[in-house]
Amino acid sequence: MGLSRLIRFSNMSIDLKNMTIKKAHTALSAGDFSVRGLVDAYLENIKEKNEDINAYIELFDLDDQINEAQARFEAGTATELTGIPFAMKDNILIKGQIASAASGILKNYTAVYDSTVIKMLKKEAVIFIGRANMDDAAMGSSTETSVYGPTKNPLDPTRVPGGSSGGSAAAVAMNGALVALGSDTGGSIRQPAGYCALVGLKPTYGTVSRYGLIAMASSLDVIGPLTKTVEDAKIVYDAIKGNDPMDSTTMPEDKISSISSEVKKIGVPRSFVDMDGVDPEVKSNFEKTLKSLEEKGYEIVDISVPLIEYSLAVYYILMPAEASTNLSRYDGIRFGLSVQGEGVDDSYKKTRGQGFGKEVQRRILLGTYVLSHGYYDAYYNKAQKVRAKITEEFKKVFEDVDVILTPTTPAPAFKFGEKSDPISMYLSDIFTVPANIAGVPAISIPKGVHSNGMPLDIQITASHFAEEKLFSLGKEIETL
Amino acid sequence: MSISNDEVKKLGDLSRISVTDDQVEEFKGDLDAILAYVDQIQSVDVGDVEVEYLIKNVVREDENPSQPGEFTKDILKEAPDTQDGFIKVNKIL
Repeated sequence: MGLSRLIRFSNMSIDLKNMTIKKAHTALSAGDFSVRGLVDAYLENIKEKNEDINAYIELFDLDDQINEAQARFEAGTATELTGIPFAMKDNILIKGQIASAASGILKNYTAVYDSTVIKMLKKEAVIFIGRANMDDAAMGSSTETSVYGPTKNPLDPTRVPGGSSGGSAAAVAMNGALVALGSDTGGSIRQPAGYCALVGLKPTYGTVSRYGLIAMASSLDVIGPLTKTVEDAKIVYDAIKGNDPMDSTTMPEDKISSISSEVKKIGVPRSFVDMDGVDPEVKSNFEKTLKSLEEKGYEIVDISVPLIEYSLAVYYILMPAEASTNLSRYDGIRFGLSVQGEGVDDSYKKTRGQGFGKEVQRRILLGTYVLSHGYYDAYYNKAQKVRAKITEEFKKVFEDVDVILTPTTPAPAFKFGEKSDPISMYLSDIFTVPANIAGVPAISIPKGVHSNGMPLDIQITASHFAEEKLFSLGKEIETL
Repeated sequence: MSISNDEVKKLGDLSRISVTDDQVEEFKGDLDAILAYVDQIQSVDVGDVEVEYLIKNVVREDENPSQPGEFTKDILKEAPDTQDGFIKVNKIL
């Protein structure tokens, strides 16, 4: 009794709201609190809030993880990430744990191997708290399509947390984990980060291994962190980046993050930022940030990236095309849901008809359409060419400016059910999709508050392998 | 350009997804709207841009093979129906 009260007291005194990786590491090293004390403090929040927020769909066994991390501190072999509580998006495989991508088709699938990012984090003895909710197969921008039901925004439970990494964002925002991993195919890390006042990093395509990430659109998918500070995003990114023999699209080690951190000149794609449909307060918040940066001595210039506005259209051709191909693996025979029909064909159809949610089916049908004979050239091929042109435009712009600045989201977090037609939902990713199309890195930084009380955001985009520029300017924006 | 009901059914067949008659109407409306939106790329002049594919050999040397059966048990555990170390499927012919 006496002891448990003491532990309880020590949990209460841990300030999770302002916790960072460095602060936690210093305190754990000094013995100010133990790994168990830190984890218990997060668990208390989860116990109190998760039933309503639904950020986590499962909590893992923590005892062995906690003991291992604590042992590292006692042996003096702890790294900065040892004992740090992580929420893991449900599409990242951890051996022996269910990884369902919040989809009916994989609801009972147990991962048979560790993804590369998990392997790397296990080496540092981080704590995997649990599986974070997400949109069905990562398809959605609000976490409303999850087979486990929607996740609520901890800052206003009548609003969505964004998506598809909405559970990851909500877990960190409700102080249910210090940091989280998500995946970003068209904005799925940055948009929920923006909606929940977090930092969200989409690294350069090919700098973080996709091995063990449940595939959606393989030329666009990338894993990255959601954190409270830019510094934490950098620490997690540094821990998970690197060439991986198991992912042939990862880059050589000497290329990754090889560009200097110096930022002097900031480009603003004027016509893109000023387009119709962007919330006026998002615009004024953006202008205010620009002005502050100018006062700090940064050079701000207008840039022209004329084809950037076509990114979302390109995305909604290539992403469904790749997804329809990737998701053909769900056959009800080797793993995942299996619904018996009359014969092979009928079994496939019933399995996929029942296992995939509506949004997933819509995208598979669309992808099948744009890849089908007669439409392939007009859609898939044309989109590939426009993608190449957009990438060219980005490369040219980065010859002149160090980074590009835009808002992350065109409006703050919306209410549940507010966006019922697909196009209006898709438009919430208008500013985030271009970075995936060009494969360049981008980060969302919380900045400003809307009059409705929800957080606003700024997105920095840099050239391939220039993550360090995102971090240096991101830290500057954090302190404005 | 508008998609027909038959085309939606055909897409369901091609992608092995059962689509009920009610769903056909809904998907048709959604797909029409999405295609109308993405059709804006038709107006982009792409000139003679070449789509670059980076082609390199990423196949590792064939050495240190995993032991036969090393992963079999774990993998088969995920299959809905197995027998004697094989995955069972419906009769195909």
